[in-house]
Amino acid sequence: MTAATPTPRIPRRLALQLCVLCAVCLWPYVLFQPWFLSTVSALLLVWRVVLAWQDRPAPPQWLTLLFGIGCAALVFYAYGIPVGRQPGLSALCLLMPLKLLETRRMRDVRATLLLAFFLVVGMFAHEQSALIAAAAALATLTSLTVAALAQRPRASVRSAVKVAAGLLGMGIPLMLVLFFLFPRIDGPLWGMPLDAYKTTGLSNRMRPGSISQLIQSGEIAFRAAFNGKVPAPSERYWRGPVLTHYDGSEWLPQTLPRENEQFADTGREWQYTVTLEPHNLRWLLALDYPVDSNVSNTRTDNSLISREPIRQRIRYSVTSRPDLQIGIDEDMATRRIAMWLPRNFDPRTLAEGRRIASEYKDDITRMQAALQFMRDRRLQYTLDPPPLGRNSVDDFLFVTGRGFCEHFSSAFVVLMRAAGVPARVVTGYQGGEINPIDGTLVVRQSDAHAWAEVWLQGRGWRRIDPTAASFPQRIDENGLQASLPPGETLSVPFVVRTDLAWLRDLRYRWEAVGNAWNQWVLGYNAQRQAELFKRLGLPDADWRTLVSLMAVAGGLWLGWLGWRYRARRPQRDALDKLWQGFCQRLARAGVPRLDWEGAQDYIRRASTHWPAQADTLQGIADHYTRMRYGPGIPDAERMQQLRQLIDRFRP
Amino acid sequence: MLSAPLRSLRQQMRRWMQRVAGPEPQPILLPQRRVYVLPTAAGLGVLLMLCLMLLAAVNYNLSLAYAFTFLIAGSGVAHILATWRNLVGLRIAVQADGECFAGDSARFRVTLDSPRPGDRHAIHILDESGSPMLEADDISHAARHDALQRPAGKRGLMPIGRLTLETRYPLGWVRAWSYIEPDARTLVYPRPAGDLPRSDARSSRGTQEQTLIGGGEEEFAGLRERRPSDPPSRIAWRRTARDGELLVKDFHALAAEEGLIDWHALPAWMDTEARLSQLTQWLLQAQTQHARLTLRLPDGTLGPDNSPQHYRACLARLALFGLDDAGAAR
Repeated sequence: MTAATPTPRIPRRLALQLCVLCAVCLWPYVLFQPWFLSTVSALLLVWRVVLAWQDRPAPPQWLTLLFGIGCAALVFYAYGIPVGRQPGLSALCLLMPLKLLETRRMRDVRATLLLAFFLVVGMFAHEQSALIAAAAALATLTSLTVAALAQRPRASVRSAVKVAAGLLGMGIPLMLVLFFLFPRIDGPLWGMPLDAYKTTGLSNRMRPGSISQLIQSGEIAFRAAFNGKVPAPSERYWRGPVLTHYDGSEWLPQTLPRENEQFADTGREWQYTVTLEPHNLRWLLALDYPVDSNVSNTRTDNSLISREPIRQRIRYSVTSRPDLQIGIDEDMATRRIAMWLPRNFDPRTLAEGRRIASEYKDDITRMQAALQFMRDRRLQYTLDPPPLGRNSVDDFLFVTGRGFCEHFSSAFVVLMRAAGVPARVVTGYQGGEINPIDGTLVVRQSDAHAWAEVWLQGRGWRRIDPTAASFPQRIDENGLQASLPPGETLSVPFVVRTDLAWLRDLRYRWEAVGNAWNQWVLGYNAQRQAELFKRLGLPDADWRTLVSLMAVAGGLWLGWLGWRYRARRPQRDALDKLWQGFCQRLARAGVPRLDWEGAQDYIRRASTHWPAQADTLQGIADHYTRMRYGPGIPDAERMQQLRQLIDRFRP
Repeated sequence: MLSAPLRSLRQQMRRWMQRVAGPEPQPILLPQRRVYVLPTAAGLGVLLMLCLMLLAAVNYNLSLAYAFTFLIAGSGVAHILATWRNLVGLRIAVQADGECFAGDSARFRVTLDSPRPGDRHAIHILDESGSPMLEADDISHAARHDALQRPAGKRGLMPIGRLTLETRYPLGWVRAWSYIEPDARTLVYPRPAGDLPRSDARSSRGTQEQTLIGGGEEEFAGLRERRPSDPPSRIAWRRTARDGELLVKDFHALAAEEGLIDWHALPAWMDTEARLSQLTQWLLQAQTQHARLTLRLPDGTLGPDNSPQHYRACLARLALFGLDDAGAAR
């Protein structure tokens, strides 16, 4: 409707406020992107601040364009072909200060605000911690404040912050409603670039050193909430990838097809829910031995596997039976691959295996002999094993004698296979600690472990932990730390050290909060949404139900807003009250004021009823009109005059 | 440019949106149904951005991205209501503030106040053509007064016309507006123009001198410095002898400067407006000379008189010549 008027250059104050907004939006990205990109962003921003401060004009357009090309080159240098969200967000981080440099008109201000909103959401592509959420909240508040200041440039910053905070506060109920009710869709809508996920935690292959590196990280691998009894520390064997194939240096999974095993309905049973951190691979974790789970099929080696790579935190529930005997009727082929050894590796270990095989006739005694042999070697448990040569098992058993759980399990399995007993390596986690605050079992990367399974005639696959056989304290309550030689304590992650009680308490609390945050905020997905509605008594809530609920809740929210903003009865000031009182007097005398009548019209009509007092009436009308619409604010003296005039009138 | 039928459609639309036909009695209290809200370009931009953000949240399964998208959307909806409420219930009155000549700016005084508690901010008033007239900030319970100006085109009674009240406060994503047409009119005198000499001989300087000297209908008004044109008979010799400075006796010609401004004295080729302009020009010249003036128009004669009221009455007569009370051509 308005004609296009030339918009003036944006004022200096607004330019500076935009710079503040830019800084608030960009600082979290310092944590996520290469340092030189952040430095360039910061330098561009500082330049803009200096220009705004000295009230100098924006640099010419060709220069900004040149800088834009330079920034594009930088992104290309940092990431190669700039496809995917990481390069995209870094490019936006450079674009925002560049946009500020060429901000001349109000239109540019709006564009900057839109960029700010996208950068707020972009932060979460990197991290969804409470800290980043706080940073995003601050950035949102700043964006709205700057928008308000752009509308009303003379307002104080404090009042604009108040307005922005008020609007956000009114938005919070809608946010909650939509957050829980908006139909969640699983999985990406389009193909993801490869950089979207990083692989962390246990790998599905094992070579010497792979676990001892992992174990130095205090990061949480998964949490388990038990429904009922919690297993004792020595029974907390979390089964991950089962590795059967050995090529002389690396263990790999290998399974053969087999009919599903039928389990006897006996023994103890543990029911629990695991919340697994994403690791970009397909394996899942379960206590020995999983019999039932809601996410996956049990593989023939009794490990759980997901259909898709785990790319976001997932929850799944599992039932495990620790006393189960698995693989009693294991077929020949599976036993065969569990006895296969590569040629021309580890001659001394193979010789030792053959010796055991010739001395002992049955598998149980052979197994005991092998464990005894390893105990006799007086092997050392260390996080920092010396490098091994081509014959890694030989080197570990006969030369260095120092190793970690992957060395122990690998050596034991090779020894058993050499002795003619089917055996395989199982990797996973062992242990975990109960957080007393919320009762969940927290398992960290530092609990990563590798053990062995041996197949015995008539007993099936039995778990043997060669590390525990040599160092029983490894699987006790104090675990890792107690089994390490003195002097190696410090390489264990600080947060996992158990000697500082206050630190442990603080950590428990922090992690309990983190768990709640994960479960209800970050992990709220299609599955969790379905669970919530089942718990609320709507077991088969589909998207139609959700949309109707959303409409109802949104309507209630709008009603609440409308009630807050309801058109309140006009507040009357003293002058109004006086005038209304006078009008009521006239109304009682038979001349009510009509709705559309202004003061003068009304009085003119009233004068015809009281011609004798026409002068007084006209005086009242004039006085009132002058005070109401004349310059200045009605003061006490003029109010008094009007009151006297009104008193003089006698209907 | 809009074609004529489209423009008339738009005018009808506006008239309907104004909800009240013609000039409205004052003060005008904006009711809810007269305040309209639509998103601005900035608001559409934000909407688009929110869709993008939601898409990113769905695709990457980012719970917090969902949360912040919904938070900003919620604030946006609250903003719609806040903007709407910034205008609803505003009380506004417009009054003429003095007269003006055609071609100058007509001045009005606008009174704004808010009967409900809480301030209103950044309310813009635009005139019929959409050019901004005023930005009013901090409108509270106490009435505030501002000046409005509109270019005065034609002589006669000029109404303030249809005003647009609009606001984008607080965030600028939506625009709330309302059309009002306050019953406020100001008198626009004809534009003074024309350089024809006055036809009444008596108004010339020479005649005036003769009258003064011969008739003696003069009143002593004081002494002033001598100008070359002063006749020697006027010099105040006594005073000059004392002070050494040539002073003359100044006389106010009370009845002496008589003038007649006559419509009929103008040449026949002049049209009505040109005549009125010329008459106004003469009238203003005569006013600076405090002349006792008579104005003769086809529909009557005013004066003679030289009071300011008389001059204003003459100007008003010229302004409204040939027009009816409503300002339309008769």
